[in-house]
Amino acid sequence: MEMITAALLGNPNVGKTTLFNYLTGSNQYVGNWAGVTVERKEGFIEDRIKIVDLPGIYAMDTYSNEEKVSKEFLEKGGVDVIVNIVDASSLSRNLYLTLQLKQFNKPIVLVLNMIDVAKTKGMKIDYQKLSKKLGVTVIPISASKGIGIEEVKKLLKSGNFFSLYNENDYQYVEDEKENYKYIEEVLAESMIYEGDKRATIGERIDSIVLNKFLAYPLFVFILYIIFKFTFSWVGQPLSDAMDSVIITKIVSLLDILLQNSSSWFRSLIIDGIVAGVGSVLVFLPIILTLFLGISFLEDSGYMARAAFIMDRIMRKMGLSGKAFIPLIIGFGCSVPGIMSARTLESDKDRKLTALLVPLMSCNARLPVYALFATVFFPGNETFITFSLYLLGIGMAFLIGILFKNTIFRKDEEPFIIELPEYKLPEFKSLIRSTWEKGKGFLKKAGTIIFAMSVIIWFLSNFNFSGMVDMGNSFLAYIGGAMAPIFKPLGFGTWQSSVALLTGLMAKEVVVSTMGVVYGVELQKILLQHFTSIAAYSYLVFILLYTPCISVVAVMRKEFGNRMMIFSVLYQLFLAWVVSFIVYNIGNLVFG
Amino acid sequence: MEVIITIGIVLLAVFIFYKSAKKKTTGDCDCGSCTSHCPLYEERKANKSVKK
Repeated sequence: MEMITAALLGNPNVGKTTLFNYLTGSNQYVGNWAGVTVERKEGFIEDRIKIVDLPGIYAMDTYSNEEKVSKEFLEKGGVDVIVNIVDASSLSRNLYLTLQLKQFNKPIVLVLNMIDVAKTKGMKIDYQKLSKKLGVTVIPISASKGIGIEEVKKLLKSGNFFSLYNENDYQYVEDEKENYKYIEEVLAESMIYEGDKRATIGERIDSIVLNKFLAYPLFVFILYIIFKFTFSWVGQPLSDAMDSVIITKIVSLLDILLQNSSSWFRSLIIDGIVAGVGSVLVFLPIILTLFLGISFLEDSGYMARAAFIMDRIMRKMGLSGKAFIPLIIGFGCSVPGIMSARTLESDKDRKLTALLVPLMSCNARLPVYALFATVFFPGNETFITFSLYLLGIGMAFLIGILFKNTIFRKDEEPFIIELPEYKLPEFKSLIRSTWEKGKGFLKKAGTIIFAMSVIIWFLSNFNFSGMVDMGNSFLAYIGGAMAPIFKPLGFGTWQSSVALLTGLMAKEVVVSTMGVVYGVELQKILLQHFTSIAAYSYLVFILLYTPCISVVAVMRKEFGNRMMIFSVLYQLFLAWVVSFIVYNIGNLVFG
Repeated sequence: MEVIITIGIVLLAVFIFYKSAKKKTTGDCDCGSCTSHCPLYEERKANKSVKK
């Protein structure tokens, strides 16, 4: 008996993989939000029906990698039948793909999943009418409850899906509006809506949150509140308490314990390890509070809306709103941000997004901002940190426009994103995700920051002739050679220069380097080495120059040597120019 | 004693630095912000299941 090949297709998050698992008895797990998996999976029913699970797609006209995989398989994969799974509670959106699938002239089995959800929403679907109107076989199921799966299996086994094939007159046309008009007509005849027609709470919130005029001010306001929560209300006070209670006590205790030790050993422990690790560790409450705020936005469903409203701005930068997702991920860490650019449609889109991701302020820079903002801008920490995040977004916008009109000229592409229901985040899940991220920070403090503190202590206390004054150390020579480059930016000391260099290992190391070279009284000593304007200029440089060597490596891995060199050089140039402008204009205005 | 402790600290620091630098130069990250939205996290998970 000949093998039947069935292609399983549908929008993302409609239960495609659940159905695949039920049909084939396998146990695949596939996510689709900003993922990198663009592949197909195969399973069998009784060794004579091959089910091919294709990537989740919304349409077939945006030329994404997922679509290319699906299209190629439908054209060349010897497909006998298309199993198109759709969300029954959202038919008007899902059927667009169904109309496009009809172009392939293959029998289509339309599997209406989530019929229970549709019923709860008051939707009454006449399956026979829908089947007749669309010219496809319709089977209602609820994959999560296992309802109707046997019908699908039975139909595939019988091979009886050719009966209704191509019986309607309508074929997909290029005009998007025409297709949606046709879908509305089909649904008007085959579906009755008996639910409450009043707007749901979610729809009412969306009418404000996605409002043309209110969306952007609200987005900025929400971000500002999160920063206020982090720097004024909760994070900073806890951080101050941690500094004065824990770190100071540890230093006093170690001072007593090591009073009989040699001065170099005491210096290694207190000025090296404790100052280096402690100067970063005090920012743990700030990191945790910011993560808590961001997790709240993610879990509540607002983040997807933020991506949606950003589409208009992203288009001006020559990108689709889909590129906002890698940029958002870049606020956590640039490495996964650059990697998730893989999901974008064109090569130009991917490259442009990867070049912009490092301009988003990753969380490793936060301890540097917090330190300088606390020392130089007391009372205005929220505003200073917030301004840096906005500056990063603003620079990405300007650089995006510049690149779009020079090296990355391209056509615009559509963006589709699913807006999840609003929900009050669960306390337990918020705490868990915040702790997961905090744990990463603690691990970093105990590993690379500890190691760098020890190495920096040695480099700042030794040269080839042995232990020397810090001013004659290896580190002072290296920093001294770099310092003239940064002098026009207001921070031409060897200490600040060398911290920029060590910061390439991880941005938190900037703080630990300063902790080691300036000592445990870091906050007081910083005031002697920077003016407020120079401090802000320094922060701007930290924001815009190469984040860390992981980012350089991932750039090379994803796009090759040329892009890697270009990204490093353009960021260094950009950081220098913007810091120069900030320092000089700042001096003119406030100096 | 101080010298022995110092040698221990230095060896540990150099080892951690070497491991971390090696990891970073291959484009891996240590941001700790692992969520299921992160492609690197997904990739690691996939690699783990392949190894199994």
